[in-house]
Amino acid sequence: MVLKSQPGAELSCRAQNYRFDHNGTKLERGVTSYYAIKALPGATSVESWLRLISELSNLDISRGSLRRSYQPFLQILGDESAMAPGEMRSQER
Amino acid sequence: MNKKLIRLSALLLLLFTLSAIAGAPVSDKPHQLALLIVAPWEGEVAMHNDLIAMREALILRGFSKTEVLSLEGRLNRSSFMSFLEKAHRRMAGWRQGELFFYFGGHGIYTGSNVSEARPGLWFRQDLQQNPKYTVYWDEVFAKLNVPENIKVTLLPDS
Repeated sequence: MVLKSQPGAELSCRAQNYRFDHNGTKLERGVTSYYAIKALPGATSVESWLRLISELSNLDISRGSLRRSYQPFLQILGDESAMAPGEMRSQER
Repeated sequence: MNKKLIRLSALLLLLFTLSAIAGAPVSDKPHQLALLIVAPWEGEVAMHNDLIAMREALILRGFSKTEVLSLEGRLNRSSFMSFLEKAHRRMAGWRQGELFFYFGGHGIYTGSNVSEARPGLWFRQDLQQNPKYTVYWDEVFAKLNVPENIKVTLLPDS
């Protein structure tokens, strides 16, 4: 799963950091990592992981806790139906 | 004499047990391994925070502590490649399973257009892009040399 790029801007650094609320204080995090981690518990496939990342970041924008210009736009290169990390083992149980 | 015999028998039993373990077929149970690598430049703190959070999230997803390998700090090609070698050895012989590879840091590339670009990881703020502090993604995959049937999920935040 990688950041999506605009046509003509494929070769540029797009990862950003942001100061997110964390237990009443601000904690600097990578935007992609922050939402990927936040979305992981509910993800079953890579596709659902991506969808949750998008939903959670949209929600934060609507609440005013993330500036729209920081919203991560990700894409999947590969098998969208592949299981999210940890899912293979959980299906074994 | 009896004590010697008992010791010899115990030794033989131990050797038999060890050889039986060594010769045992590789387990078909799915394996999993997470490689978490963050390479902040001087003064950057976000990546450390991300690493801690990612580790916790994976453990909540069922990864054991020994299934999450982390590498953090002022990395260089040598330390990074050694880490990948360790991961490669860990996966050797796996028949099924998954590898999650997370990288937080900076990226570089060579080439002037997408079709010829060679993307990589950039460990130290150095405009010369000294090869001691850069590794290209193709080198990462070559070093990992992940066995067939192991699913790889890559999440770069770079």
